[in-house]
Amino acid sequence: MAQLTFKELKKVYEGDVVAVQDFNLKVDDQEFIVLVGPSGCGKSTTLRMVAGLEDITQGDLYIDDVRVNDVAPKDRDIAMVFQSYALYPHMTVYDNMAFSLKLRKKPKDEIDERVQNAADILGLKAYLDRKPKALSGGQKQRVALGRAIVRDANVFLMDEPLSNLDAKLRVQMRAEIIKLHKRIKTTTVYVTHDQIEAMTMADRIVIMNDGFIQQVGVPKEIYDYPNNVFVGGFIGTPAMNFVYGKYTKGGFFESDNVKVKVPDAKAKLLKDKGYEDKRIILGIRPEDIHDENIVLETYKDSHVKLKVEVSELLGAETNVYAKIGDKEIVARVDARDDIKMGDELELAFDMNKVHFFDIDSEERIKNN
Amino acid sequence: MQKLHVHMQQASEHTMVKALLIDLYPSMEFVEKTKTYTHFTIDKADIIELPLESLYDLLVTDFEMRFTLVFHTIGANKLIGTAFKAHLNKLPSGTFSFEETLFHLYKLNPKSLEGIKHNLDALITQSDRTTLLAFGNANMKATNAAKRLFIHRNTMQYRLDHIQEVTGIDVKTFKGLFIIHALQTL
Ligand SMILES: Nc1ncnc2c1ncn2[C@@H]1O[C@H](COP(=O)(O)OP(=O)(O)O)[C@@H](O)[C@H]1O
Ligand SMILES: [Mg+2]
Repeated sequence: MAQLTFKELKKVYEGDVVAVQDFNLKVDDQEFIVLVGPSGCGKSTTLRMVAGLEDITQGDLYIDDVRVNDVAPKDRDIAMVFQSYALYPHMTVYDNMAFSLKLRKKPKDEIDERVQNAADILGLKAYLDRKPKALSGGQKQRVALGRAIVRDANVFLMDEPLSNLDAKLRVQMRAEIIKLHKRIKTTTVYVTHDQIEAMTMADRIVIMNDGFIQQVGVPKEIYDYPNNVFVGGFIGTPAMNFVYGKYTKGGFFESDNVKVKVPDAKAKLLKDKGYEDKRIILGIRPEDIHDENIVLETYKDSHVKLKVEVSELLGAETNVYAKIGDKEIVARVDARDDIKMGDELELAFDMNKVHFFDIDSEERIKNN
Repeated sequence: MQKLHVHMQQASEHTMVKALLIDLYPSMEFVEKTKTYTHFTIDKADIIELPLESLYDLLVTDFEMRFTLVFHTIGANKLIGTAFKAHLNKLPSGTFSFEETLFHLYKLNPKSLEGIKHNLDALITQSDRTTLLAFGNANMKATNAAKRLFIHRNTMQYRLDHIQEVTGIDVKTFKGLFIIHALQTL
Protein backbone atom coordinates (compact mmCIF):
# COMPACT_ATOMS: atom_id res chain seq x y z
CA MET A 1 0.00 0.00 0.00
CA ALA A 2 1.29 3.44 -0.76
CA GLN A 3 0.77 7.15 -0.92
CA LEU A 4 1.84 9.25 -3.90
CA THR A 5 2.97 12.84 -3.62
CA PHE A 6 3.61 15.14 -6.56
CA LYS A 7 5.41 18.40 -5.84
CA GLU A 8 5.65 21.01 -8.60
CA LEU A 9 6.11 18.27 -11.16
CA LYS A 10 7.05 19.42 -14.64
CA LYS A 11 7.69 17.66 -17.94
CA VAL A 12 9.25 19.34 -20.95
CA TYR A 13 9.60 17.19 -24.06
CA GLU A 14 12.15 17.64 -26.77
CA GLY A 15 11.19 20.67 -28.84
CA ASP A 16 10.30 22.60 -25.68
CA VAL A 17 6.82 21.10 -25.47
CA VAL A 18 5.70 21.69 -21.90
CA ALA A 19 3.38 18.76 -21.33
CA VAL A 20 2.79 19.08 -17.58
CA GLN A 21 3.57 21.85 -15.11
CA ASP A 22 2.81 23.06 -11.58
CA PHE A 23 1.51 19.58 -10.82
CA ASN A 24 0.82 19.30 -7.08
CA LEU A 25 -1.18 16.41 -5.70
CA LYS A 26 -1.32 13.95 -2.87
CA VAL A 27 -2.91 10.58 -3.60
CA ASP A 28 -3.91 8.80 -0.41
CA ASP A 29 -3.25 5.19 0.37
CA GLN A 30 -6.02 3.01 -1.15
CA GLU A 31 -7.47 5.93 -3.05
CA PHE A 32 -8.87 5.59 -6.57
CA ILE A 33 -8.01 8.86 -8.24
CA VAL A 34 -8.98 9.74 -11.80
CA LEU A 35 -7.05 12.15 -14.02
CA VAL A 36 -9.42 13.50 -16.64
CA GLY A 37 -9.09 16.09 -19.38
CA PRO A 38 -9.14 16.51 -23.14
CA SER A 39 -6.65 14.75 -25.37
CA GLY A 40 -3.17 16.27 -25.14
CA CYS A 41 -3.63 17.82 -21.70
CA GLY A 42 -0.80 15.80 -20.13
CA LYS A 43 -2.55 12.84 -18.49
CA SER A 44 -0.44 10.07 -20.00
CA THR A 45 2.74 12.05 -19.46
CA THR A 46 1.92 12.35 -15.76
CA LEU A 47 1.27 8.64 -15.47
CA ARG A 48 4.37 7.70 -17.45
CA MET A 49 6.53 9.82 -15.17
CA VAL A 50 5.19 7.88 -12.20
CA ALA A 51 5.91 4.56 -13.90
CA GLY A 52 9.43 5.62 -14.86
CA LEU A 53 8.61 5.43 -18.57
CA GLU A 54 9.45 9.13 -18.94
CA ASP A 55 12.04 11.22 -17.12
CA ILE A 56 10.83 13.95 -14.79
CA THR A 57 12.11 17.33 -15.97
CA GLN A 58 11.61 19.18 -12.70
CA GLY A 59 9.90 18.81 -9.33
CA ASP A 60 9.65 15.89 -6.93
CA LEU A 61 7.73 12.65 -6.96
CA TYR A 62 7.38 10.66 -3.76
CA ILE A 63 6.09 7.18 -3.11
CA ASP A 64 5.38 7.23 0.59
CA ASP A 65 8.38 9.12 1.94
CA VAL A 66 10.85 8.15 -0.76
CA ARG A 67 11.72 10.56 -3.55
CA VAL A 68 11.64 8.37 -6.65
CA ASN A 69 12.64 10.78 -9.45
CA ASP A 70 15.86 8.90 -10.00
CA VAL A 71 14.74 5.54 -8.70
CA ALA A 72 14.74 2.90 -11.42
CA PRO A 73 11.34 1.49 -12.42
CA LYS A 74 12.43 -1.69 -10.64
CA ASP A 75 12.37 -0.11 -7.23
CA ARG A 76 9.13 1.79 -7.60
CA ASP A 77 6.90 -1.26 -7.36
CA ILE A 78 4.29 0.02 -9.75
CA ALA A 79 2.07 -1.87 -12.17
CA MET A 80 0.64 -0.17 -15.24
CA VAL A 81 -2.16 -0.96 -17.66
CA PHE A 82 -1.84 0.67 -21.08
CA GLN A 83 -4.43 2.07 -23.45
CA SER A 84 -3.20 -0.23 -26.20
CA TYR A 85 -3.56 -3.17 -23.81
CA ALA A 86 -0.25 -4.39 -25.05
CA LEU A 87 0.18 -8.16 -24.69
CA TYR A 88 2.88 -10.48 -25.99
CA PRO A 89 1.21 -11.99 -29.05
CA HIS A 90 3.25 -15.20 -28.93
CA MET A 91 2.41 -16.06 -25.32
CA THR A 92 -0.72 -17.62 -23.88
CA VAL A 93 -2.90 -15.68 -21.47
CA TYR A 94 -1.29 -17.62 -18.63
CA ASP A 95 2.23 -16.80 -19.76
CA ASN A 96 1.40 -13.17 -20.39
CA MET A 97 0.31 -12.89 -16.77
CA ALA A 98 3.13 -15.02 -15.39
CA PHE A 99 5.95 -13.39 -17.34
CA SER A 100 6.89 -10.55 -15.02
CA LEU A 101 6.82 -12.94 -12.04
CA LYS A 102 9.15 -15.34 -13.83
CA LEU A 103 11.53 -12.48 -14.45
CA ARG A 104 11.43 -11.76 -10.75
CA LYS A 105 12.37 -15.38 -10.14
CA LYS A 106 9.31 -16.16 -8.06
CA PRO A 107 8.81 -19.84 -7.22
CA LYS A 108 6.63 -21.76 -9.69
CA ASP A 109 3.83 -22.54 -7.27
CA GLU A 110 3.60 -18.96 -6.11
CA ILE A 111 3.38 -17.80 -9.74
CA ASP A 112 0.67 -20.34 -10.39
CA GLU A 113 -1.29 -19.27 -7.34
CA ARG A 114 -1.14 -15.60 -8.27
CA VAL A 115 -2.08 -16.18 -11.91
CA GLN A 116 -4.96 -18.51 -10.99
CA ASN A 117 -6.18 -16.03 -8.44
CA ALA A 118 -6.10 -13.12 -10.91
CA ALA A 119 -7.78 -15.26 -13.57
CA ASP A 120 -10.48 -16.07 -11.06
CA ILE A 121 -11.11 -12.43 -10.19
CA LEU A 122 -11.21 -11.44 -13.85
CA GLY A 123 -13.19 -14.40 -15.17
CA LEU A 124 -10.32 -15.61 -17.34
CA LYS A 125 -10.02 -19.19 -16.09
CA ALA A 126 -11.38 -20.65 -19.30
CA TYR A 127 -8.99 -18.69 -21.48
CA LEU A 128 -5.62 -19.31 -19.88
CA ASP A 129 -4.36 -21.42 -22.79
CA ARG A 130 -5.40 -19.03 -25.49
CA LYS A 131 -3.20 -16.60 -27.34
CA PRO A 132 -4.23 -12.91 -27.39
CA LYS A 133 -5.28 -13.17 -31.03
CA ALA A 134 -8.10 -15.54 -30.04
CA LEU A 135 -9.55 -13.11 -27.49
CA SER A 136 -12.13 -10.34 -27.78
CA GLY A 137 -11.21 -6.75 -26.95
CA GLY A 138 -12.76 -7.01 -23.52
CA GLN A 139 -10.91 -10.24 -22.75
CA LYS A 140 -7.59 -8.74 -23.84
CA GLN A 141 -8.26 -5.79 -21.60
CA ARG A 142 -8.84 -8.19 -18.73
CA VAL A 143 -5.56 -9.95 -19.40
CA ALA A 144 -3.82 -6.57 -19.35
CA LEU A 145 -5.43 -5.94 -15.97
CA GLY A 146 -4.41 -9.42 -14.86
CA ARG A 147 -0.79 -8.70 -15.76
CA ALA A 148 -0.96 -5.80 -13.33
CA ILE A 149 -2.87 -7.63 -10.59
CA VAL A 150 -0.44 -10.55 -10.31
CA ARG A 151 2.33 -8.10 -9.56
CA ASP A 152 0.71 -7.27 -6.25
CA ALA A 153 2.27 -3.83 -6.66
CA ASN A 154 2.06 -0.82 -4.38
CA VAL A 155 0.46 1.40 -6.99
CA PHE A 156 -1.71 0.75 -10.04
CA LEU A 157 -1.58 3.06 -13.01
CA MET A 158 -4.21 2.74 -15.72
CA ASP A 159 -4.03 4.78 -18.92
CA GLU A 160 -7.42 4.88 -20.64
CA PRO A 161 -7.80 1.12 -20.26
CA LEU A 162 -11.36 1.10 -21.60
CA SER A 163 -11.13 3.50 -24.51
CA ASN A 164 -10.80 0.76 -27.11
CA LEU A 165 -13.92 -1.09 -25.99
CA ASP A 166 -17.46 -0.64 -27.25
CA ALA A 167 -19.89 1.36 -25.15
CA LYS A 168 -21.67 -1.54 -23.50
CA LEU A 169 -18.50 -3.35 -22.52
CA ARG A 170 -17.04 -0.10 -21.26
CA VAL A 171 -19.87 0.33 -18.78
CA GLN A 172 -19.50 -3.26 -17.62
CA MET A 173 -15.71 -3.04 -17.25
CA ARG A 174 -16.04 0.25 -15.35
CA ALA A 175 -18.04 -1.57 -12.71
CA GLU A 176 -15.59 -4.48 -12.69
CA ILE A 177 -12.58 -2.26 -12.14
CA ILE A 178 -14.31 -0.55 -9.23
CA LYS A 179 -15.24 -3.91 -7.74
CA LEU A 180 -11.66 -5.03 -8.16
CA HIS A 181 -10.41 -1.94 -6.40
CA LYS A 182 -12.82 -2.46 -3.50
CA ARG A 183 -11.37 -5.92 -3.17
CA ILE A 184 -7.64 -5.34 -3.44
CA LYS A 185 -7.59 -1.67 -2.38
CA THR A 186 -4.36 -0.82 -4.20
CA THR A 187 -3.75 2.90 -4.58
CA THR A 188 -4.78 3.62 -8.18
CA VAL A 189 -4.28 6.47 -10.61
CA TYR A 190 -6.69 6.06 -13.51
CA VAL A 191 -6.54 8.19 -16.64
CA THR A 192 -9.43 8.89 -18.97
CA HIS A 193 -10.69 11.59 -21.31
CA ASP A 194 -14.25 10.48 -20.57
CA GLN A 195 -15.86 12.64 -17.91
CA ILE A 196 -18.57 10.05 -17.26
CA GLU A 197 -15.91 7.47 -16.38
CA ALA A 198 -14.34 10.03 -14.09
CA MET A 199 -17.61 10.90 -12.38
CA THR A 200 -18.69 7.30 -11.87
CA MET A 201 -15.39 5.73 -10.83
CA ALA A 202 -13.36 8.27 -8.88
CA ASP A 203 -12.92 8.78 -5.17
CA ARG A 204 -11.47 12.09 -6.27
CA ILE A 205 -11.12 13.63 -9.70
CA VAL A 206 -8.19 15.65 -10.99
CA ILE A 207 -9.20 17.76 -13.98
CA MET A 208 -6.40 18.80 -16.28
CA ASN A 209 -6.17 21.15 -19.22
CA ASP A 210 -3.12 22.35 -21.16
CA GLY A 211 -0.73 20.67 -18.74
CA PHE A 212 -2.20 22.33 -15.65
CA ILE A 213 -4.43 20.92 -12.93
CA GLN A 214 -7.71 22.83 -13.06
CA GLN A 215 -9.40 21.34 -10.02
CA VAL A 216 -9.13 18.45 -7.58
CA GLY A 217 -12.17 17.23 -5.70
CA VAL A 218 -14.79 14.56 -5.13
CA PRO A 219 -17.12 14.17 -8.13
CA LYS A 220 -20.08 15.98 -6.59
CA GLU A 221 -17.99 18.93 -5.50
CA ILE A 222 -16.54 19.28 -8.98
CA TYR A 223 -19.97 19.09 -10.53
CA ASP A 224 -21.60 21.52 -8.14
CA TYR A 225 -18.73 23.96 -7.65
CA PRO A 226 -16.53 24.11 -10.75
CA ASN A 227 -13.47 26.29 -10.20
CA ASN A 228 -13.65 27.83 -13.64
CA VAL A 229 -15.37 27.92 -17.00
CA PHE A 230 -13.26 25.04 -18.30
CA VAL A 231 -14.27 22.65 -15.51
CA GLY A 232 -17.92 23.75 -15.69
CA GLY A 233 -17.97 23.09 -19.41
CA PHE A 234 -16.00 19.84 -19.34
CA ILE A 235 -17.94 17.97 -16.67
CA GLY A 236 -21.60 17.24 -17.42
CA THR A 237 -23.53 16.34 -20.57
CA PRO A 238 -25.00 18.30 -22.15
CA ALA A 239 -22.43 20.86 -21.08
CA MET A 240 -23.04 23.82 -18.80
CA ASN A 241 -24.44 26.87 -20.62
CA PHE A 242 -22.45 30.08 -20.48
CA VAL A 243 -24.04 33.48 -21.05
CA TYR A 244 -21.84 36.57 -21.34
CA GLY A 245 -23.42 39.69 -19.90
CA LYS A 246 -23.28 42.36 -17.26
CA TYR A 247 -24.14 42.51 -13.59
CA THR A 248 -26.17 45.71 -13.09
CA LYS A 249 -26.57 47.86 -10.02
CA GLY A 250 -30.22 46.89 -9.75
CA GLY A 251 -29.20 43.31 -8.96
CA PHE A 252 -29.84 41.82 -12.38
CA PHE A 253 -27.71 39.87 -14.79
CA GLU A 254 -28.35 41.35 -18.21
CA SER A 255 -27.43 40.38 -21.70
CA ASP A 256 -29.18 40.68 -25.07
CA ASN A 257 -32.60 39.06 -24.58
CA VAL A 258 -31.76 37.97 -21.02
CA LYS A 259 -32.58 39.79 -17.82
CA VAL A 260 -32.61 37.67 -14.68
CA LYS A 261 -32.67 38.63 -11.02
CA VAL A 262 -29.63 37.58 -8.99
CA PRO A 263 -30.56 36.18 -5.55
CA ASP A 264 -29.48 38.25 -2.53
CA ALA A 265 -26.51 36.19 -1.37
CA LYS A 266 -25.01 36.04 -4.85
CA ALA A 267 -25.79 39.72 -5.43
CA LYS A 268 -23.91 40.62 -2.28
CA LEU A 269 -20.93 38.55 -3.37
CA LEU A 270 -20.81 40.21 -6.79
CA LYS A 271 -21.12 43.66 -5.22
CA ASP A 272 -18.46 42.95 -2.59
CA LYS A 273 -16.09 41.71 -5.24
CA GLY A 274 -16.55 44.85 -7.29
CA TYR A 275 -18.49 43.41 -10.21
CA GLU A 276 -21.26 46.03 -10.28
CA ASP A 277 -21.71 47.26 -13.84
CA LYS A 278 -18.98 44.89 -14.98
CA ARG A 279 -19.16 42.21 -17.61
CA ILE A 280 -19.26 38.67 -16.20
CA ILE A 281 -20.14 35.15 -17.34
CA LEU A 282 -23.20 33.32 -16.07
CA GLY A 283 -23.00 29.53 -16.02
CA ILE A 284 -26.09 27.35 -15.70
CA ARG A 285 -26.49 23.61 -16.12
CA PRO A 286 -29.19 22.35 -18.52
CA GLU A 287 -31.11 20.72 -15.66
CA ASP A 288 -31.33 24.03 -13.83
CA ILE A 289 -33.43 25.56 -16.58
CA HIS A 290 -37.08 24.68 -15.88
CA ASP A 291 -40.36 24.54 -17.70
CA GLU A 292 -42.68 23.47 -14.85
CA ASN A 293 -45.36 26.01 -14.01
CA ILE A 294 -44.57 25.88 -10.35
CA VAL A 295 -40.99 26.86 -10.95
CA LEU A 296 -41.95 29.52 -13.46
CA GLU A 297 -44.16 31.06 -10.81
CA THR A 298 -41.55 30.86 -8.08
CA TYR A 299 -38.86 32.44 -10.24
CA LYS A 300 -40.86 35.21 -11.88
CA ASP A 301 -37.75 37.39 -12.20
CA SER A 302 -35.65 34.86 -14.00
CA HIS A 303 -37.62 33.90 -17.10
CA VAL A 304 -35.96 33.61 -20.46
CA LYS A 305 -37.50 33.30 -23.92
CA LEU A 306 -36.06 30.62 -26.15
CA LYS A 307 -36.50 29.64 -29.75
CA VAL A 308 -36.28 25.87 -30.13
CA GLU A 309 -33.88 24.43 -32.69
CA VAL A 310 -33.89 20.75 -31.77
CA SER A 311 -35.75 18.81 -29.13
CA GLU A 312 -34.45 15.37 -28.13
CA LEU A 313 -36.78 13.13 -26.19
CA LEU A 314 -34.49 10.77 -24.28
CA GLY A 315 -37.16 8.82 -22.41
CA ALA A 316 -37.19 10.18 -18.89
CA GLU A 317 -36.25 13.66 -20.03
CA THR A 318 -35.99 15.96 -22.99
CA ASN A 319 -32.99 18.00 -24.09
CA VAL A 320 -34.08 21.22 -25.70
CA TYR A 321 -31.44 22.88 -27.88
CA ALA A 322 -32.50 26.44 -28.42
CA LYS A 323 -31.38 29.99 -28.99
CA ILE A 324 -31.72 33.06 -26.85
CA GLY A 325 -31.18 35.76 -29.45
CA ASP A 326 -28.13 34.35 -31.19
CA LYS A 327 -26.84 32.43 -28.16
CA GLU A 328 -27.03 28.64 -28.10
CA ILE A 329 -28.50 27.16 -24.97
CA VAL A 330 -29.51 23.69 -23.82
CA ALA A 331 -32.23 22.96 -21.29
CA ARG A 332 -33.04 19.57 -19.84
CA VAL A 333 -36.71 19.35 -18.94
CA ASP A 334 -39.09 16.53 -18.07
CA ALA A 335 -39.99 14.17 -20.85
CA ARG A 336 -42.32 15.81 -23.32
CA ASP A 337 -42.85 15.27 -26.99
CA ASP A 338 -44.79 18.43 -27.77
CA ILE A 339 -41.78 20.67 -28.40
CA LYS A 340 -41.06 21.35 -32.05
CA MET A 341 -38.45 23.22 -33.99
CA GLY A 342 -39.24 26.92 -34.12
CA ASP A 343 -41.39 26.87 -30.97
CA GLU A 344 -41.01 29.82 -28.63
CA LEU A 345 -40.69 28.73 -25.02
CA GLU A 346 -40.58 30.65 -21.80
CA LEU A 347 -38.42 28.91 -19.22
CA ALA A 348 -36.98 29.87 -15.85
CA PHE A 349 -33.38 29.83 -14.65
CA ASP A 350 -32.98 28.41 -11.15
CA MET A 351 -30.86 31.33 -10.04
CA ASN A 352 -29.81 29.62 -6.83
CA LYS A 353 -27.91 27.12 -8.95
CA VAL A 354 -26.15 29.48 -11.34
CA HIS A 355 -22.46 30.33 -11.09
CA PHE A 356 -20.75 33.54 -12.07
CA PHE A 357 -17.29 33.66 -13.58
CA ASP A 358 -14.81 36.48 -14.07
CA ILE A 359 -14.74 37.38 -17.76
CA ASP A 360 -10.94 37.62 -17.98
CA SER A 361 -9.63 34.90 -15.70
CA GLU A 362 -12.73 32.69 -16.23
CA GLU A 363 -12.44 31.74 -12.54
CA ARG A 364 -15.64 31.23 -10.56
CA ILE A 365 -16.46 34.25 -8.42
CA LYS A 366 -16.68 32.92 -4.89
CA ASN A 367 -16.18 33.83 -1.24
CA ASN A 368 -12.58 33.37 -0.24
CA MET B 1 9.60 -8.39 -47.44
CA GLN B 2 10.78 -5.06 -46.08
CA LYS B 3 13.17 -5.27 -43.18
CA LEU B 4 13.22 -3.03 -40.18
CA HIS B 5 16.42 -2.38 -38.27
CA VAL B 6 16.08 -1.99 -34.53
CA HIS B 7 18.79 -0.72 -32.23
CA MET B 8 18.10 -1.42 -28.63
CA GLN B 9 20.00 -0.26 -25.63
CA GLN B 10 19.04 -1.54 -22.22
CA ALA B 11 20.20 -0.45 -18.80
CA SER B 12 21.93 -3.69 -17.94
CA GLU B 13 22.75 -7.06 -19.37
CA HIS B 14 19.73 -9.19 -19.89
CA THR B 15 19.85 -12.41 -21.82
CA MET B 16 16.14 -12.76 -21.10
CA VAL B 17 15.43 -9.69 -23.22
CA LYS B 18 17.16 -11.28 -26.17
CA ALA B 19 15.45 -14.60 -25.59
CA LEU B 20 12.10 -12.83 -25.52
CA LEU B 21 12.79 -11.00 -28.77
CA ILE B 22 13.72 -14.20 -30.55
CA ASP B 23 10.43 -15.76 -29.49
CA LEU B 24 8.50 -12.63 -30.30
CA TYR B 25 9.78 -12.04 -33.83
CA PRO B 26 10.04 -15.15 -35.99
CA SER B 27 11.98 -13.25 -38.65
CA MET B 28 14.51 -11.80 -36.25
CA GLU B 29 18.22 -11.78 -37.09
CA PHE B 30 20.94 -10.33 -34.93
CA VAL B 31 23.32 -7.87 -36.58
CA GLU B 32 25.26 -7.15 -33.43
CA LYS B 33 24.87 -7.84 -29.75
CA THR B 34 26.83 -6.73 -26.74
CA LYS B 35 25.95 -6.71 -23.06
CA THR B 36 23.77 -3.65 -23.22
CA TYR B 37 23.30 -3.07 -26.93
CA THR B 38 21.49 -5.08 -29.55
CA HIS B 39 21.05 -4.40 -33.24
CA PHE B 40 18.64 -6.72 -35.01
CA THR B 41 16.45 -6.87 -38.08
CA ILE B 42 12.89 -8.10 -38.43
CA ASP B 43 10.29 -8.19 -41.17
CA LYS B 44 8.11 -5.13 -41.03
CA ALA B 45 5.06 -7.38 -40.84
CA ASP B 46 6.30 -8.71 -37.53
CA ILE B 47 5.43 -5.53 -35.68
CA ILE B 48 1.83 -5.28 -36.86
CA GLU B 49 0.53 -7.15 -33.85
CA LEU B 50 2.84 -5.48 -31.38
CA PRO B 51 4.06 -2.03 -32.41
CA LEU B 52 7.47 -1.05 -31.06
CA GLU B 53 5.92 1.62 -28.81
CA SER B 54 3.88 -1.11 -27.13
CA LEU B 55 6.90 -3.38 -26.93
CA TYR B 56 8.71 -0.58 -25.13
CA ASP B 57 5.86 -0.25 -22.60
CA LEU B 58 5.94 -4.00 -21.97
CA LEU B 59 9.71 -4.18 -21.67
CA VAL B 60 9.98 -1.30 -19.22
CA THR B 61 7.18 -2.54 -17.01
CA ASP B 62 8.24 -6.21 -17.06
CA PHE B 63 12.01 -5.87 -16.93
CA GLU B 64 11.77 -2.67 -14.92
CA MET B 65 14.68 -0.91 -16.49
CA ARG B 66 15.38 1.78 -19.05
CA PHE B 67 15.34 1.00 -22.75
CA THR B 68 16.11 3.06 -25.80
CA LEU B 69 14.73 1.71 -29.07
CA VAL B 70 15.56 3.24 -32.43
CA PHE B 71 14.13 1.82 -35.63
CA HIS B 72 14.80 2.55 -39.28
CA THR B 73 14.64 1.04 -42.75
CA ILE B 74 17.61 -0.52 -44.47
CA GLY B 75 18.54 2.65 -46.33
CA ALA B 76 19.73 4.31 -43.14
CA ASN B 77 22.62 1.88 -42.76
CA LYS B 78 24.72 3.67 -45.35
CA LEU B 79 23.93 7.00 -43.73
CA ILE B 80 24.77 6.10 -40.16
CA GLY B 81 27.82 3.93 -40.74
CA THR B 82 28.99 1.62 -38.00
CA ALA B 83 29.35 3.90 -34.99
CA PHE B 84 25.67 4.42 -34.39
CA LYS B 85 25.42 2.79 -30.99
CA ALA B 86 27.49 5.60 -29.45
CA HIS B 87 24.64 7.94 -30.34
CA LEU B 88 22.07 5.86 -28.48
CA ASN B 89 23.64 6.82 -25.17
CA LYS B 90 22.49 10.37 -25.73
CA LEU B 91 18.82 9.53 -26.17
CA PRO B 92 16.41 9.22 -23.25
CA SER B 93 14.52 6.05 -22.47
CA GLY B 94 11.85 5.64 -25.16
CA THR B 95 11.05 4.60 -28.74
CA PHE B 96 12.31 6.75 -31.58
CA SER B 97 11.89 6.68 -35.34
CA PHE B 98 14.98 7.45 -37.38
CA GLU B 99 13.77 10.99 -38.09
CA GLU B 100 13.08 11.60 -34.41
CA THR B 101 16.49 10.25 -33.48
CA LEU B 102 18.40 12.50 -35.86
CA PHE B 103 16.29 15.49 -34.85
CA HIS B 104 16.98 14.79 -31.21
CA LEU B 105 20.72 14.39 -31.70
CA TYR B 106 20.85 17.55 -33.81
CA LYS B 107 19.18 19.52 -31.05
CA LEU B 108 21.63 18.22 -28.47
CA ASN B 109 24.71 18.93 -30.53
CA PRO B 110 24.74 19.44 -34.31
CA LYS B 111 28.45 18.68 -34.42
CA SER B 112 27.81 15.11 -33.32
CA LEU B 113 26.20 14.55 -36.73
CA GLU B 114 29.22 15.53 -38.80
CA GLY B 115 29.98 11.94 -39.74
CA ILE B 116 26.40 11.45 -40.86
CA LYS B 117 26.50 14.69 -42.84
CA HIS B 118 29.59 13.46 -44.61
CA ASN B 119 27.85 10.23 -45.59
CA LEU B 120 24.72 12.11 -46.68
CA ASP B 121 26.69 14.35 -49.03
CA ALA B 122 27.96 11.27 -50.81
CA LEU B 123 24.52 9.62 -50.96
CA ILE B 124 22.32 12.30 -52.47
CA THR B 125 22.64 13.86 -55.88
CA GLN B 126 22.17 17.41 -57.12
CA SER B 127 18.79 16.40 -58.46
CA ASP B 128 17.78 15.07 -55.01
CA ARG B 129 18.71 18.44 -53.55
CA THR B 130 16.54 20.24 -56.09
CA THR B 131 13.65 17.92 -55.24
CA LEU B 132 14.05 18.55 -51.53
CA LEU B 133 14.28 22.29 -51.93
CA ALA B 134 11.16 22.41 -54.11
CA PHE B 135 9.27 20.20 -51.67
CA GLY B 136 10.26 22.41 -48.74
CA ASN B 137 9.45 25.62 -50.59
CA ALA B 138 6.03 24.21 -51.47
CA ASN B 139 5.41 23.67 -47.74
CA MET B 140 5.60 19.90 -48.11
CA LYS B 141 2.83 19.75 -50.70
CA ALA B 142 4.11 17.31 -53.30
CA THR B 143 1.59 18.42 -55.94
CA ASN B 144 2.66 22.07 -55.72
CA ALA B 145 6.32 21.12 -55.70
CA ALA B 146 5.80 19.01 -58.83
CA LYS B 147 4.16 21.95 -60.63
CA ARG B 148 7.12 24.18 -59.88
CA LEU B 149 9.52 21.64 -61.30
CA PHE B 150 7.25 20.96 -64.31
CA ILE B 151 7.12 17.24 -63.51
CA HIS B 152 4.24 14.88 -62.89
CA ARG B 153 2.96 14.51 -59.33
CA ASN B 154 3.81 10.79 -59.38
CA THR B 155 7.36 11.59 -60.45
CA MET B 156 7.67 13.89 -57.44
CA GLN B 157 6.36 11.15 -55.16
CA TYR B 158 8.77 8.69 -56.70
CA ARG B 159 11.71 11.02 -56.12
CA LEU B 160 10.76 11.61 -52.49
CA ASP B 161 10.44 7.86 -51.92
CA HIS B 162 13.77 7.34 -53.65
CA ILE B 163 15.46 9.72 -51.18
CA GLN B 164 14.04 7.68 -48.32
CA GLU B 165 15.28 4.47 -49.91
CA VAL B 166 18.79 5.86 -50.21
CA THR B 167 19.07 7.68 -46.86
CA GLY B 168 16.48 6.04 -44.62
CA ILE B 169 15.05 9.49 -43.88
CA ASP B 170 11.36 9.90 -44.58
CA VAL B 171 11.39 13.44 -45.92
CA LYS B 172 7.61 13.58 -45.97
CA THR B 173 7.70 13.93 -42.19
CA PHE B 174 8.44 17.34 -40.74
CA LYS B 175 11.38 16.11 -38.72
CA GLY B 176 12.77 14.19 -41.70
CA LEU B 177 12.64 17.18 -44.03
CA PHE B 178 14.03 19.46 -41.36
CA ILE B 179 16.97 17.25 -40.58
CA ILE B 180 17.93 16.57 -44.17
CA HIS B 181 18.09 20.32 -44.81
CA ALA B 182 19.91 20.92 -41.54
CA LEU B 183 22.50 18.25 -42.34
CA GLN B 184 23.18 19.78 -45.75
CA THR B 185 23.87 23.17 -44.22
CA LEU B 186 25.92 21.85 -41.30
N1 LIG C 1 7.21 11.85 -26.79
C1 LIG C 1 6.73 13.10 -26.91
N2 LIG C 1 7.48 14.07 -27.49
C2 LIG C 1 7.03 15.33 -27.61
N3 LIG C 1 5.82 15.73 -27.18
C3 LIG C 1 5.01 14.82 -26.61
C4 LIG C 1 5.43 13.45 -26.44
N4 LIG C 1 4.42 12.76 -25.82
C5 LIG C 1 3.44 13.67 -25.62
N5 LIG C 1 3.79 14.89 -26.09
C6 LIG C 1 3.00 16.14 -26.02
O1 LIG C 1 2.74 16.40 -24.66
C7 LIG C 1 1.42 16.86 -24.48
C8 LIG C 1 0.68 15.95 -23.51
O2 LIG C 1 0.53 14.68 -24.10
P1 LIG C 1 -0.13 13.45 -23.32
O3 LIG C 1 0.45 13.37 -21.96
O4 LIG C 1 0.01 12.26 -24.19
O5 LIG C 1 -1.63 13.91 -23.22
P2 LIG C 1 -2.96 13.06 -22.91
O6 LIG C 1 -2.56 11.71 -22.39
O7 LIG C 1 -3.68 13.89 -21.91
O8 LIG C 1 -3.71 12.98 -24.19
C9 LIG C 1 0.81 16.93 -25.87
O9 LIG C 1 0.96 18.23 -26.34
C10 LIG C 1 1.64 15.96 -26.66
O10 LIG C 1 1.67 16.32 -28.01
MG1 LIG D 1 -3.01 9.82 -23.22
